[in-house]
Amino acid sequence: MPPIPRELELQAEALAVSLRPLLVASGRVAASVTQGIHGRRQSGPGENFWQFRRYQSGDPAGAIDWRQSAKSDPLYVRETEWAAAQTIWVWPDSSPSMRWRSRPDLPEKRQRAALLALTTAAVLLQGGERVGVLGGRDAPNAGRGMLPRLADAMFDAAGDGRLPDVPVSRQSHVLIFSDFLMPLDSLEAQLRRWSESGVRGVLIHLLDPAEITLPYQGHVRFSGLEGEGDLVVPRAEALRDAYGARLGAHRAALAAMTRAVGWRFLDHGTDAEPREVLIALHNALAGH
Amino acid sequence: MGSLSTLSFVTPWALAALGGLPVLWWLLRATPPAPKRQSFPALRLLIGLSTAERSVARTPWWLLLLRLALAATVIAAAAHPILGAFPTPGNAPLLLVVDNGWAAAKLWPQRRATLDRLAGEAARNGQPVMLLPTAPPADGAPISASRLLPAGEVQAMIQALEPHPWPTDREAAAKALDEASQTTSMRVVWLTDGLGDERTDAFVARLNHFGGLEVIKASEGGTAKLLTPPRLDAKDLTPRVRRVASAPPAMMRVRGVDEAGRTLAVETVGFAAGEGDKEIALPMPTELRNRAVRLEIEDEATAGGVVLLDDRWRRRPVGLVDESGGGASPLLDDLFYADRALSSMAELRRGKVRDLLQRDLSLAILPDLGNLGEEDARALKAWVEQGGVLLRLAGPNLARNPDDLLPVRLRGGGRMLGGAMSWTRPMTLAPMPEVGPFSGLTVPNDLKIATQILAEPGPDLNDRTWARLEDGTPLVTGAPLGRGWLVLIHTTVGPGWSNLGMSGLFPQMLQRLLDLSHGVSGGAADHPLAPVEVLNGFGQLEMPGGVVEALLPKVAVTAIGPHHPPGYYGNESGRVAINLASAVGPLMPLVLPVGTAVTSLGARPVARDLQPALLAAVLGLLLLDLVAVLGLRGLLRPRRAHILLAAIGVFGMAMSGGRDASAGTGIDIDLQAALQTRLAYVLTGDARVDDSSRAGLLGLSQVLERRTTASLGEPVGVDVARDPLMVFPLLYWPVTGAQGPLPSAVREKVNDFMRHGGLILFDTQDRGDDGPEKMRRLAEGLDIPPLAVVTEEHVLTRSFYLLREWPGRSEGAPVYVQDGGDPANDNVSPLIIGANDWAGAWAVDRRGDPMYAVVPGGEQQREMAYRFGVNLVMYALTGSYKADQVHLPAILERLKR
Repeated sequence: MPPIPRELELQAEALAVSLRPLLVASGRVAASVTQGIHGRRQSGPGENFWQFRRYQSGDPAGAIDWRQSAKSDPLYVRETEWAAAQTIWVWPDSSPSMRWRSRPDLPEKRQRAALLALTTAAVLLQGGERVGVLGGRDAPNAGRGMLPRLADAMFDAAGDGRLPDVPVSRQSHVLIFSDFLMPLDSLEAQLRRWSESGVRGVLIHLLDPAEITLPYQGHVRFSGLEGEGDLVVPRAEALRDAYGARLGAHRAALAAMTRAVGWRFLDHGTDAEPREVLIALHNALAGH
Repeated sequence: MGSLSTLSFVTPWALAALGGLPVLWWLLRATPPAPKRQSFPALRLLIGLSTAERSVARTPWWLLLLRLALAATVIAAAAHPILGAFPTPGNAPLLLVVDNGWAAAKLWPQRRATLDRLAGEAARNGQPVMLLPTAPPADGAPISASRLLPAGEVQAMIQALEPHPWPTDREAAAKALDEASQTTSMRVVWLTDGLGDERTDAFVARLNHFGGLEVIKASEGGTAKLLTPPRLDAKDLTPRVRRVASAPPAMMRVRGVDEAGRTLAVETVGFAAGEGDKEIALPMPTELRNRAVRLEIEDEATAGGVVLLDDRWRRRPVGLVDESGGGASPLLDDLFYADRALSSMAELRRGKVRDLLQRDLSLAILPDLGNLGEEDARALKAWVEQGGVLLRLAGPNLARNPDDLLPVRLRGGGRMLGGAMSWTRPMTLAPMPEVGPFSGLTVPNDLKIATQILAEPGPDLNDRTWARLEDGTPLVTGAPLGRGWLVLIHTTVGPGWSNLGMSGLFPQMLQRLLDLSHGVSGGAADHPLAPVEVLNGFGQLEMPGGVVEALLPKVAVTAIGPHHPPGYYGNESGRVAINLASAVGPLMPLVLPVGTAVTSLGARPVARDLQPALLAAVLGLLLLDLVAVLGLRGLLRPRRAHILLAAIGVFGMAMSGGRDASAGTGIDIDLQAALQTRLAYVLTGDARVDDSSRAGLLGLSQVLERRTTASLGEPVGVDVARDPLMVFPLLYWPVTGAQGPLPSAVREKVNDFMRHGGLILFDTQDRGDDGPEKMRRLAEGLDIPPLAVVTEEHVLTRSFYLLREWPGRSEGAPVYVQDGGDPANDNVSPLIIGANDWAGAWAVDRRGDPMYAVVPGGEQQREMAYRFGVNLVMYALTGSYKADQVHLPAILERLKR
């Protein structure tokens, strides 16, 4: 059995095959963006053919398209479309609470988060975008060779559930995959800071089905994973409704906070197929 | 019998503890199991949530129930219940009547267990017990009943009780009961062997005097069977199997065993319902037959299931010296009459002296041939000195030129009795003398001797005369030479000089001479025969005890008993087998009066101790409780649960006595064969031959696996008409007489197989029957190429081992292959024909031991047979690859130049 990063990488590539290469929709593109393959609908540095135009003095001789020029008297120069790349940061939460699953046939939340992040990264890399892991060692970069390094970076970081406070360049995108079982204050502050500097992004809320339905019965001693202590419940089934209401409120708060900064918010249960949320994420990024 | 529903307790006061169960219930309810542990990431959301109802955790009802059941079972086990104990009839004594004759050896362990149980019950109830075995005891004392003894002492007697190798004597047993003069009423249990005789009714009536008689009896199928000695004059050993005619249909196997306990032959006999007596033939080559010392019914360890054989059952090879190669007028030929007289009791070989003496001979008959060659005479003399018996027949040639291979000196010329020029009439024989090999034979009165050769009178002529004419002149003389005998009949056996050959006396005389050839002096023994080895009740030979008496001469043994148990009597020079069957009549089932209580021998014990079962249940419930508690606390991972459940399952199986399911395999033959290279044999329809072929190829495959790189699968039997042949490299085809000419379609298939590289080994497995004829019939219409005997140049002699001969179970028969070879087929012969019964030599049983003895014998021969097999398979697999070696000398020669 290959180690987990390699296995996930394979899964991610398999999933990515079914999605179109993704170019992040970018309304306002800074002039300084790095070269990528975002067609900018004007001639410039790039690979795709854009137009032929008459040779003007000052053009380098190597730019002359001799095949085209041979068809008629004037000399023609081949112009390519100007392409530019976007930077996308992904952050799969790897806090202890993410390393949990209620049934052996379900993936751990952290694993699902990494899979979603990697798949998205793979699709983005196909589109020529630059992808990086928040808090990882490598700077964002483009190219297929980036994928294994991303996978490694996701499993290197033993996170504490807090968003890493690293400088994020303006106009880039941030994707956060987490269960968001953390105090929302610090998250909100961070989102606001990013949003002010023009960073956009998506929050993907991952939950295990047991965290949604609380399926336990009888006399149960619940213990938290992040040192919250124990809680003995005489009849767990009696808590189910109250818990559901509280979870609903938490989600609503999250969604509201996201909307306030102009980001997108997506829900995902680990018992669902990853494809659904991937398509939603795809659409969110493509700007549909 | 008895009321099975009664339930009694050994310690009933323990049941009082059942009253504590409600308290236990209350206690269990009040102490619920510890909470289940559950890790939960969203604990932050749970903290602070309080349930509206403040309910107390409860023990689940089913756990309560489980634990109460557990407690109840423990209490019940402590009370030690016994189901269906026999209602104690006061303390009336118990009379145990046990058949311990030969027939009781069958199922003896069950019988002893039943006796133990009965005595144990009596001990519990404090009943005194009287024990009455119905067979005469081994010390020769009369049958007697024991006194009324405490059950404990009787248990020791039961341990010492053994079945005897002689029949029961119920009349004497009834008498012993009378002598015991027990007048009080007793409970009588008779453990019978299931056989009855005419005296049984009186015995049953006597037992019924005491009150209730219970009979414990094995089922009809479990009644002992009897094997009777084979007839003396048959060609094969043909014992009869007798059994109770009312028994259900059954199959049994009878086998012949040699001195060392090796099986020589096995035959299966099937009994239909109602059949009680069946003859079974054990065909064996003469050499094997003469090694057989014991016939037995398999899995029937009783003295009656064993027949001991002695010299009377040996067939001895007799050589008829025939220099002419078939006379013109057979009815005038001496040998014709000798042949007829001996054919039923001995194996006959005809041929020249040199050829005959190459194999073992007991008796050689030399007719009147004229001058014996110098070399032949020397060879014959040497053979006689080794222990052979040479019987010479007189005639005109001998009368003219007597030689020195004669017991007495002869006068030249014959003596005519009767005829135109003589006063005397043809004479008959005088009664046989009291001593000598012919003692006791009666002389038919129509015997006529017309001409004889006279012996020269001498001092020892009288001692050497074994039979005389009426006038006292010797007609048969014999003298020892070395360890053997020279015998002369002073007249012809053919009609030339006498009608001796046509009389019934001649075969009897020859039989006596045959006996002589093995050192058994003729006639019945004239001195007492001491016991050598006797059978015990289970049919095993052991040293005779002190009371076994010697057999008196000329007294037929009818009373098999403690004084004359079945076994061997005699000394080193010869021993006589006494078999039980001669003293036992037809087997009759036991007929009991209507209304007698009969229990089957294997039936469940009457009283059943329930404590072990309850303790087992306690253990099972404890395990269940463990699983339940683990489950409630959430400690039960699926993997652990499997282990636990498996443990419980194993436990349950051990309790119920696990049974295994044997999976049948039904793969298609060609699929099997195509997946792995394997040998194949042709199914002949004769189960014995097919078994032998299968076992033979199995043995060969194992040898190949061990010694070569050829790793073959399990051999399969193919039906040439139905199964595809093309997937097999080698087909072993035992040729039996039953295989006729093949149908044309099959013939075409076999031809096709041979044309396209298949190799068939035809084995006629000669046992003196007509091998070539069988082969001819089978091969009709097959494309048999011109054949040649395998020479030393053939690849078969060097394809793996270097071989010079090809023995199988027998040896010496030539092996034929295609003459030359077909270049299209890499010069590989498409068939090999032989008669040495190779499968018989290769055959191994499940344990890997050889199944059949090889003839003439020795592991050397079996090894050679295996080597032939290895070479054969290599030849089939690699073709003439090794033939290059034939040219190796030539190639080397060329390289030198």
